[in-house]
Amino acid sequence: MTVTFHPPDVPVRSLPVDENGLCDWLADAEPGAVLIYYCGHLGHDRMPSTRVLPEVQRRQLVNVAARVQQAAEDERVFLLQRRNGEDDFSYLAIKATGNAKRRSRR
Amino acid sequence: MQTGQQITPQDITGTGLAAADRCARRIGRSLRLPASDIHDIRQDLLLELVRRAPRFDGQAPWSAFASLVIRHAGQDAADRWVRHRLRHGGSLGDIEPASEDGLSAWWAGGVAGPGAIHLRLDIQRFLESLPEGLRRLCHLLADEDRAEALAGSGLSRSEFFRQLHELRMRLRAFGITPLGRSGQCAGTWQ
Repeated sequence: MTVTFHPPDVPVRSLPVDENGLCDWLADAEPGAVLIYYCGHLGHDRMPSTRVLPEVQRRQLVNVAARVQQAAEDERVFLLQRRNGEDDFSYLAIKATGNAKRRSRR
Repeated sequence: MQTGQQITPQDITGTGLAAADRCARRIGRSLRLPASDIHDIRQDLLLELVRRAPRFDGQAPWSAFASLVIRHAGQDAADRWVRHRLRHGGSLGDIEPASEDGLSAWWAGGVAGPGAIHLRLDIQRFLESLPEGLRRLCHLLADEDRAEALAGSGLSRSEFFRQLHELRMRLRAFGITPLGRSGQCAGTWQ
């Protein structure tokens, strides 16, 4: 049996959705619905040099973060974070009401 | 014509009103209508159901009869709105004229019946939301197969597939899958 040990001073990282799951949520969620898309310290954990997450999971985190950021720029979600403890945040996306922004970018 | 099946007020205000409400909301979402217009459409749908209720012959459940009548009436209502906007210079002015050769028509090509107009509107809205590079890639993929689109795009192979992935993800986030289980486009109204 595999036992995972987390030191008490290091918060547990979790990535509840992957990029596909996030896109499905964006398509289906009602306005006001809340998605926690990451628990940890996003800005820190996504950097390759920190080695907090296995490489595959870190890449998934980068993809999810980029997709959430794009949805926020399109005004489809609002982004918030809740502090749980030191270096430990819950990152929340709240589905917005109304039209996505209708402008071309880039 | 066989008639005379007893229809209770509950059939109209319960099943009928719920079906009219769902249909009106769906049309409202697709056409971005204000709440007052959605209420008007709901009333029109309910009125149409009441008008056709004497034709109910009891061979099928009332709920099936009601949803069929409302679906057809809803499609008529949506078509009327689109025609109204075309006539009065609404923002959807280019949808119907472009529908035969436009990109939205190409992607919506497998869908017929009540869903077609909603899918075209959804795809039109999706295309408007894309950055220029991705929109150009859409046009290439509409006209060419993937290998020819790659050659015509002027992009490196890796950049082409990166943009293709981006396009797929954006479609998915928009609730549109290019090929559904039935082999046809599937939109957010489903």
